[in-house]
Amino acid sequence: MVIVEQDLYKLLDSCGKGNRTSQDRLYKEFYAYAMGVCLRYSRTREEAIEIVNDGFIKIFTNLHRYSRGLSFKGWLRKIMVNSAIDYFRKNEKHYNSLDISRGQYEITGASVLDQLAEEDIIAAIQRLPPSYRMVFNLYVIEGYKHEEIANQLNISEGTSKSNLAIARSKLQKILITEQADQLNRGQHGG
Amino acid sequence: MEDNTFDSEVKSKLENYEATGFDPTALASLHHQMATVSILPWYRNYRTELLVGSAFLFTILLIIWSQWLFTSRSATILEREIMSLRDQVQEFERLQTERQQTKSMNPDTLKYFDEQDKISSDEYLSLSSTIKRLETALQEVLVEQVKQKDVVGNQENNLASQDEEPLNQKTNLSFTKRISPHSVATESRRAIARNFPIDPASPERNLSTKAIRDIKKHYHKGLSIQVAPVFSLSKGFYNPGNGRFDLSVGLLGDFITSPSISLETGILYTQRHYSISSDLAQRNVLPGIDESLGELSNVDIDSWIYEMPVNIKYRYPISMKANWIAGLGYSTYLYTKQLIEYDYQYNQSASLNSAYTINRAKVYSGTLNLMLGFNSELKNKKILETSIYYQQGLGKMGIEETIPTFVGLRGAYWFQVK
Repeated sequence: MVIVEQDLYKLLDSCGKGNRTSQDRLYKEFYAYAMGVCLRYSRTREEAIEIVNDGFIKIFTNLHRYSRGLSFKGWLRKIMVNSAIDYFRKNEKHYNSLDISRGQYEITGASVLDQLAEEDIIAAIQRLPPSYRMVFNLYVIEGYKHEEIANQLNISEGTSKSNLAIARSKLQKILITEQADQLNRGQHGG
Repeated sequence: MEDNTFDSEVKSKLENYEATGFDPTALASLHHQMATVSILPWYRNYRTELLVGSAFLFTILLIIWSQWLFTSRSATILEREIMSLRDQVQEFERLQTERQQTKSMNPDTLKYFDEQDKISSDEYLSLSSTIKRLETALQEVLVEQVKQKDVVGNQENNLASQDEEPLNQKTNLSFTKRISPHSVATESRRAIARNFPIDPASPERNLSTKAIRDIKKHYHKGLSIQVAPVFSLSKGFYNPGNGRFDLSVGLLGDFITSPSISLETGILYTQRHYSISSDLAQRNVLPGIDESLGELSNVDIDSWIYEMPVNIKYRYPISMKANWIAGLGYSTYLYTKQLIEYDYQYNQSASLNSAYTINRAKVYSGTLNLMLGFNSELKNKKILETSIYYQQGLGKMGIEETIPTFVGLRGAYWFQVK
């Protein structure tokens, strides 16, 4: 569903005035996109929904801060990422499944990523420990610098770099395993 | 695969990924969450802007109202001024018309004035010529008298001839300075004043004490206050013991109630020193004596003292700017510290010292003060005062418990405060 700019502004005005129907409509309109962002930052779909809802509440209460003319999607994405960071900070103390294994795995060809669907890659990212997942997403997908990541997550730049390297290595391992599994399933199935 | 390549591959795949399928439970969860969060009404988001806007609008209205008020008042004032000007113009026109009418009339009063002037002038000239004639006659008579005295040949006339001065100047006759009515009329007041030069000798020098006092009393209003830094050099006399000359510094205030009487008070700081060597009978009262060190031969006592005098000063004026001064008063003493140094004679040849310090502050009964001095007003209106003073102890002072007497010389430089 593609919404035109004028309709979007009307919808935003209505949402700003607290119209529940309009808010629902906006939610449904951008749910898929918001979930696409938040799934990468969460371990499960439920967690992602929680982050998405937190993000939408922020959107509804801060709609007046949105500057017309700029991309609403970009603004929404930024809010979702910030919600994910807040969620991580809030639940950081509960994350105790830190995996410190540092086995080096390397994907030797582009074919592995090509053969995997987006959902598979997201599932692989979700399997990363939370701190690695956060650093990987922020650095690789959002384009944050290590200094910014360190500030956002209250860690040092060195930790951020280290986490990224480990996350990358682990993700590659998971993706290779996933691809191998898929091949096996295909062979057995074929 | 390199890290960068891997990263960009992942990014390209996930950057714009949108999750498939809408979960109605997610929306229900949102509703549930929103029910717990109170969302502010839309206008609350513009609270600051609304406040600023309201204040701005209020200010604008206030300015407009004040402008309107000022303009309407100005218009009323202007209207009144215009009316007043119109009245003035009408009055001016009326006066101009009257002037024209007066000009066109025959001036019948001029003759009267001419007659008046003429009659007056004739009488005046007649009177003037009579006075002149009488003056000339009088002068001739007087000159004749002087000539007769010359014939007798007294000493004064000889001197008068040597000076070759005009006769009328030397003899100082009153008629020589007589001025005719004409000349008086022509000279101005300033010219008359020049004939009576002021005596250069200051009359103030010849004024009596009573006159000076009366003048000062006349100009004295209320309480005058002066302050002065004070320096004094004094010698203490102790029994037993010998004092030395000690310097005191301080600040005094003089509260002048009348030209003759004033009350002086303030604070002076002194470090006094004296030694007891001859009569050590009082040594028993001194603390810290150690007989085991030898026979006590000398005691030096240094005292850090603050003196607070209260003196009544009497001024006897010599001139408007100088006075003799006599003072009587009382001083209280605050001893802040005392250092007692003992010299002991040991084995007839060697000597040992010991010291005892008292850091306890104590106030002592003080001294009766007598003072005689002189003060003089300087060109800069400050007053320099010099005095000798005598202070008689009224009770025992210091840890040594002696009754001291001080004699000294004091200098003060007074500034007028009030």
